[in-house]
Order: sequence, then C-alpha cells, then structure tokens
Amino acid sequence: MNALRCPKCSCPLDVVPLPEGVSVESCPHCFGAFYDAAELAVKVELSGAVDTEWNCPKCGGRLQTGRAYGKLELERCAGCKGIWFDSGEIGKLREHSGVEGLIKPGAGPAPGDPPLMPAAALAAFTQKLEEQRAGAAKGKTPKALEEKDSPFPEIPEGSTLLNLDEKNDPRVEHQGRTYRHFQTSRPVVTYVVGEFPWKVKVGETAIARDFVCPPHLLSQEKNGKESVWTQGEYVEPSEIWTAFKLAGSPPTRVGVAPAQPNPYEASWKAVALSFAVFAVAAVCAASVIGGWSAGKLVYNKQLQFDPKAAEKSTVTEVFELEGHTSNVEVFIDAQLNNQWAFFSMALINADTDVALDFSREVAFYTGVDEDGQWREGSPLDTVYLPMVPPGRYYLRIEPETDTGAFSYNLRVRRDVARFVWMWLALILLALPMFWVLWRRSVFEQMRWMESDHPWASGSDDDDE
Amino acid sequence: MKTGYRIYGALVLAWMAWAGYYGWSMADVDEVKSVPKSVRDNPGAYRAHYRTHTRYYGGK
Repeated sequence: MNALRCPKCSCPLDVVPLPEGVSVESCPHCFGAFYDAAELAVKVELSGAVDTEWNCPKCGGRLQTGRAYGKLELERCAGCKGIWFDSGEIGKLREHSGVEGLIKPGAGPAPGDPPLMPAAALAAFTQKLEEQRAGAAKGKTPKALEEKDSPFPEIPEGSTLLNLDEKNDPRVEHQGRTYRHFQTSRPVVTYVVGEFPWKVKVGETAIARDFVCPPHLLSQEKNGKESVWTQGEYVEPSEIWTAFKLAGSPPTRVGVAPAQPNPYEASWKAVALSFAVFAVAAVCAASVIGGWSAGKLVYNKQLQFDPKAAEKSTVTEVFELEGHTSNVEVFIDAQLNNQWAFFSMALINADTDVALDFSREVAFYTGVDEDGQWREGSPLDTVYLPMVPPGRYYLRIEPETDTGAFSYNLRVRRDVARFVWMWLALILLALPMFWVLWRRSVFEQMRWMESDHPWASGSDDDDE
Repeated sequence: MKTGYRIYGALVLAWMAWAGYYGWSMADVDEVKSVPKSVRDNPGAYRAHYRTHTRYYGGK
C-alpha cells in the first residue's frame, strides 16, 4: 500500500500514471497532487516563500508557500523542491507560465507502478469523474458504473487504484434493483488445504467488491482477467437453525450485516403514512370544532379602579353563558402608566353559587434612555376558564396596584375556538414517527460503519 | 408498532377533540362552592383565594 499521505487532508495518496510516462501522487479526496521537481518541464520559482504548517508527502520536509509568476500561490518542499498543487492549480500554472506541456516526458513507469493509461481513455474517464463530482455536488446519485461502462483497464495486483471505489461510490443495476457499493478488499491466499478444481497458490491476490441492496448482495471477484459475480440474499439466523435442525439457538448478533434488512424500514413507512392520515384528521377535526365554536361576546365594559376607594372590589352585571359546557375567555386591557396591576377574580354562578376563583396580573413600563424608547411587559392579558357549564354568571373583581388609579376594559366571551390543542396533538403524533426514524437511521449508520462509505466523518488511524 | 401507533393516534385525536369541544385548559382555577348570595350586594364579603401578592414586578 502507498504510504504517502496528503499534506492537506491526510488521505492516502494514489499513484496516477500520466500519458507522458511519469507517475504523480494524487489525493482522491481533495484532488491535490504532488510533482517531483524533475517531473515538471517548467522551472517554478517562488518569491516571498514562508513556512507553512504542512509537510512534504515525499521527504517530510516543510512545505513553503510563495508566489510564482507574481500571482499564483503554490507550496514547495524546502527539502526535495517537489511542488504540491491544490485542485485546479496545474491549470493556473499552465496559464501563467504560458507553457502547455508542463510535464517532462519520462522513460515509463517505475517498477511496481501500474501500467500507463492511454491519454484518450484517461481524458474520457476524467470527464466522467467530473460529471459525477458535479452531480454529487447537486445531490444527485452517481451514475451506475457497470463493468462494461468503465474505461478502466484490468486492475493489476500491485495497483493502489482500489481507492477509486471509495471516492466514486459506484452503483450497479441488476434485475431491477440498484446495488450500492459497500466495500472493496484485496483478499490474499495465505493457506491452502484440500483439493481444488483449479491451481491455487499461496500469495495469490484478488480484488473483491461488494454491493448491497438489502436483503440482496452482489459480490465481484477479479483475479487477473477473470471476473466472477455472485448474488446472495440475507437469511435470518433462526431460519438457518431451523433448516439444519440445529440444537439450541443461534448466537447473539453483533453489529449489522451488510445486507441485513432494516427492521425499522417497514414500520417507518407504516408510521409515516399513519401520521399523515392523523395529521389531516387533526386539522379537519380542529377546523370543524373551531367552526362550531360560537365565540359569543357576553360582557364588555370599561371599569375604573381607585386604590383609595373604601371598597376595592366590584361585581359585574349578570350575563348568560349559553350552549354546551365550554370555555370562557376573560380579556383585560388595562390602561397602565408604569405600574403593575393584580386582579383577583371569581366567575360566580348566580343560580348554583359555585365560583371559579382565579387571578391575573399585568404590568407595563415604558421610558426613554440613551438607547431610545424602551418598553417592558404588556397591559393586555387573556385567560381561558375551562369547562364552564351553561348558566347565569357574574364576575367579582378585586384589583390591586402599587401606585395610582387606572381604568381597564373587561371583555368576556363564551365558547372560543382555540387551535393550541391541534398543534399539541400534531407534536404528540409526530413523536413516535421521529423515534422510529431515529432508530432506522441508527441501524443504517451501524450498517455502513464498517463499509468504505461510513456515515460519520473522522479519520481512521488503522490504514497503516 | 403499526397497530400500537394507530391506537395511540386515535387516542390523541379523541383527546384533542374533547379538549377543543369542552374548552379544557390548563389555567390555574379553583372551584369554590356555596358562595353567599350577599356577594352581589357586598363584594368585599367574598374571601378570594388569590387575594394579593407581594412580588415586585418589572420596571427599571
């Protein structure tokens, strides 16, 4: 495995063969590339070079940043003089230097490097990668990269180009299903026992690629020029135990298998559909009940309060609350002048002598300071008395304040429509749906944790 | 899960309809029985549950 790592994002670097007969190290994540000084046909001088925080991927020396041709900022190793190009900077160097052929032709690939790719095939494949990258940026699923579509030649055993699956995240279409790439590995024969219909050698390698569409699995094994595809389907452990009449029960599951069906997939869809139905029903029911509500004004009067009066409490005229048991809205609009007011109130049934005791407080302060006018509190207050039976009622009010007299408007309405219960019902209905969605998501995260495309970001220190 | 959620959803809808129709609320209200009829002529004779408060409220 190539031990060189990208100085910017620490991903393992790919060795990319170029048509000019040289190989450069390229990062499959940020698409930067490292060129040895001898590989460039143009001499790059950096002015105002200063040390950066990055190290050279080849020799470990400090990368320095400076300006080439007065405008282009590049990083060059202070030791081996190799240059690191971020994505797109090679093209900019071509523009600023005026040199079209930047790469110095070499004698061919070094021993151990992969074979050269023809320039036309490389250009076509690069264009396909750019299209996929642009599509991925827009949130589109990458196009299927079936074996017959790829211009990529047979992957030789020494190649490090397996990382392309990790970058491309290819899909395979088969029998009406779309299989997503799960992992690519390089199995090695380490031990042989028994008889085989073909000659097996210790040390033989192959390239194994798995694609999943739970509960289905497609696996490809490439060995030299031979490519074998296998189709599989996940089977529950209990089914195997039953089929083979095994004693006891299967061992406890650990983790999630690549093609294991998500047990929350079916319930998530069912709950989501049920939620949609319930949400529509809740809105319709709330609208109907709201439409039936009378919202009748039964009392509306401007009252005065003087804290110096001998009798501070007062009672209203008797008013009729009609219809079925319902709520009563009591609204206060107090004309306050930088003061608070406390209302001890009781809604008393004139016939049954039963009272509903409650209290409200309002406060309103305003003034001007260096920041301008300020306000605090509100002179308005609304309370909804619950489940008041029909009958003849009056209100007893006993105000209290800290300063002077004030006037206030008191308004009473019967059977007022309120939609707060609809919103609360929607929240309660959505909670189980979000719980199932979360469980489904956690299951998928566990599935892909061991794949080449884990959901959680973070560095993996086990690559070495 | 599906059946359980449907039962739960039906109960939530029933509660919402009941609360909306009968005007249920969480207002802090106390029921007092046997209020004397003389309160209409002498409001001061009624002993309110929420008579006064001593908390300072607002202002700069």
